[in-house]
Amino acid sequence: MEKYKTHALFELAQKQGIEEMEIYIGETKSFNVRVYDGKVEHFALEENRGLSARGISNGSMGYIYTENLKGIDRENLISGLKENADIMEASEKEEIHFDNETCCSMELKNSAIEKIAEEEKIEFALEMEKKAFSIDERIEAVNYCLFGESSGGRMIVNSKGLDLCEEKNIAFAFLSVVAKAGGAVKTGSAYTVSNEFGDFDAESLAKEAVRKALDQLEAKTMASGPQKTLLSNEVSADLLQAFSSAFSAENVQRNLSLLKGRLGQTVGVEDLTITDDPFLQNKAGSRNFDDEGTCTLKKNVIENGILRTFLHNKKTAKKEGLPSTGNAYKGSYKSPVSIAPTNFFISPGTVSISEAMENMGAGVYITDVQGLHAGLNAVSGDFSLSASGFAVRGGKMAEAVHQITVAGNYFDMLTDIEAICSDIKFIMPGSGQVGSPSILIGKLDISGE
Amino acid sequence: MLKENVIRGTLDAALSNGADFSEIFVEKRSNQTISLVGGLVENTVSGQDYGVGIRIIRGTESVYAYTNDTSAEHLKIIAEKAALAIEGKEKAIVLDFRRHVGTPPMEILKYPGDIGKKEKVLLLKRAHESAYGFSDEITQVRINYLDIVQNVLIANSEGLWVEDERVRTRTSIQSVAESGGEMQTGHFAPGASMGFEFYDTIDLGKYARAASETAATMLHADFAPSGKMPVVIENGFGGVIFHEACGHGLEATSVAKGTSVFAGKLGEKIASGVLTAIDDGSIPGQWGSAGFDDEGMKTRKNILIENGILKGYMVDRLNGKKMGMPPTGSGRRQSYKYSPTSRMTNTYIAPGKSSFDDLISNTETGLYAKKMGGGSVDPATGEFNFAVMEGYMIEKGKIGKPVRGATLIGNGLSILTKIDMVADNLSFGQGMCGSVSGSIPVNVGQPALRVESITVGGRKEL
Repeated sequence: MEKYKTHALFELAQKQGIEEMEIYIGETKSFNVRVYDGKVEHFALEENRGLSARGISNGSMGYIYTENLKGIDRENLISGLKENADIMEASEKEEIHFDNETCCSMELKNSAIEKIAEEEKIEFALEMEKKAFSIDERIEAVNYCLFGESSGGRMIVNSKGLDLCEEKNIAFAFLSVVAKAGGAVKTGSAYTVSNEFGDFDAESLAKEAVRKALDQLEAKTMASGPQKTLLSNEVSADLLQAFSSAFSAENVQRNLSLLKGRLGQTVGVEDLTITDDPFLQNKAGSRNFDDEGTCTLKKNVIENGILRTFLHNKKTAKKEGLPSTGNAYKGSYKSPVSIAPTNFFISPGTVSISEAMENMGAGVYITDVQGLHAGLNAVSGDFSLSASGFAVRGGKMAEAVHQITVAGNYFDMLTDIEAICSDIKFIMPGSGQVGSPSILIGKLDISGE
Repeated sequence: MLKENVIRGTLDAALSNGADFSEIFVEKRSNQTISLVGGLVENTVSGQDYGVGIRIIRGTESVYAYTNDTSAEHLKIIAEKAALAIEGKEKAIVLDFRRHVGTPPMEILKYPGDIGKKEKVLLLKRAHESAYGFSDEITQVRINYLDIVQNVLIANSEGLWVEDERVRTRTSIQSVAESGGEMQTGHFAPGASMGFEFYDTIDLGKYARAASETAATMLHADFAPSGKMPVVIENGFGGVIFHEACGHGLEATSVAKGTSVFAGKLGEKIASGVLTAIDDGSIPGQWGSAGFDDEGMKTRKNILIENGILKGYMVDRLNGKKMGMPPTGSGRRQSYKYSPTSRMTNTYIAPGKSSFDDLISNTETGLYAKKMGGGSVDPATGEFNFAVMEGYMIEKGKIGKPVRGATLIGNGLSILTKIDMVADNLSFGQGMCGSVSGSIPVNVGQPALRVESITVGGRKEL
């Protein structure tokens, strides 16, 4: 990534009485293509570059950013930063650091995929759409079908001597199909996220999306009441992602996490281990250093049911007299430093899905949930979500069910896990990338008729 | 924001490989956020977004490119590179510009930049006191303040040149109540297309206390019931039911492909006769309002459903072309990073004739959903969900004991026919709506209404 000369800014900052300063630059270049009806419907070329500065004025940290790097007004930037620092009051002060450590240098960029011609990627998207229609005549439309790739970097330089830069890239494919039969309409989708073009398989993605839609065409609702519930790997990962904020030391210290005060205690079943691992090959959460420049590290957050650590940045760690866990995170150059997991996952067990169903006897297998941004409360742990999947009877998968809700409390649920399957899957990246195998829960509340 | 010759050169370069239409969207946006945790300022960030989006259309194909580097040479390079993605025989020419400078539908009295940051903090501290002092069980209060001044210039090859300014502010208050190892939360987030004078028109402390009241009430509430039952949905943010169950399905984004459950139903009776629904981006001062949409068309009032009959869709330029319908001032985007498409603005159900008391007294047993959260929908199937954050049982026609949050689910087509009573007390609530063209401010609104039967995702058998 193109270097940015920070010297002039640091010099001016010092003149204006800013004790220490750090510059963070984020950059991405991407393209994506959406096809519809055998043609390119939309093509996008994107380039984005922004700079943020944080600095200490009168002992408080101020933040400011701009996307106008060419026309940057340094005086204005520094005075804005000072004004923002002036109103800060938090008791724990943020600091600017330089640990002078050498972080791991795992390669996060695979340039090979960038060398593959755009035409080939467009062809891939067209192929997904074509395959989806060819699998089953009940496929009425492929309402989204796209391929995209993005490469970018982040650079952190501070007046204490920190000077780090990391580049990575990622590509993704997604399709959603609409199936119709009789009066029923159902959609199904599938995706791949990877920086290895060979991982993209148009046929298997099309098959997965089509199967998900067709499976649900004859779905019915079911009776309300408590049920043994098998959550699919994707659904369990969705929930873990939504509740991952409870593991942030920032939320714990702000009294916004029910895990507060539980370190060293049993918070889950013995088989449950949740790991944060920044060094997984080809995963979106991988990084060698965090957004404060601290080297990242692998750790178990929950190990055999026992809560071992929270995720820390420098500020929260200092408050506890601990080292940072390397989880400082900025959503973009615009955001202040917060905390997020890297690659965060429930360790897989040894049970297969069919064995889990045999164990449960009767219950429900949830394969999709909707409304995750609304139907759950990360503070209380309560969730109630629109869901669909299959009934399970006699230890076997039975008819499809839809128009039901699944409700419970996440923290209670972690102590009620009866089986952990082996089928770990990572979902679409958010702040970090979250994964889980399918898990069997003793009881969740289902609402239908 | 950019000189006319740069705009013209970029629009022309965008047409270089043959196309029907090119458009440039220049955005300069100042943001200020302040967050308080436990009454202390924990974070404050300000900054400027600055970028340009270029759109090229040929037939129903479109190309979109954006960049933060707005020098004339770079814009020309980007436009030409984007142009390579479509090829046409006919090349449109850039017509002379007809300039329109929009003003916000309501005059801004106190520009956010003219108000000292300390004055903003003072406002938030007072709100904190109101929320925190509500009861001993309130253990944490989080307040996030936001103000935005967005200046846009939209010009296209047909000679359109529109400059518009959008000023917005919003404060969200989250209260946490704790007792016996349990935590519950309450939330309120009023906002408007106004300057800092917005806070002269509302009592922020009242909203702060209401957030705490929800948290404290829910701490001692039982689980919500499960199963199908009648539900009375409160006015204001209750309008999220229409937004999810129907609004998204009426956006040309999904209608143009024929994949919306509401496609091809214009003129048909799709809802109960008591239902009239409107989307209006021109209401002065409202959170979802603007003078012009993000394609440079004047915003206006669009009637979607009138007495149960489907009257119209929300249409943007490109989808309008596919559908053979004129655009309706509904083209919106989060920023220069997004290609515009049809979106909601301020969407609401018109007032009916019943009183709120009629709704409750006519319900033998059911749920009164007092506060709602967000939701989502699959427009192709019509299956939607939205969250109730604070509920009460209705027993023998009276509001009874409080119950905790639960998700309500249903199918848009069938739910519209089940809205059987609409009250006369219309009000609005503010939200952020996420879809293909990003996250944008929208109002949802309605008077209180009753749904005769809907699935409530609670944890207790009725």
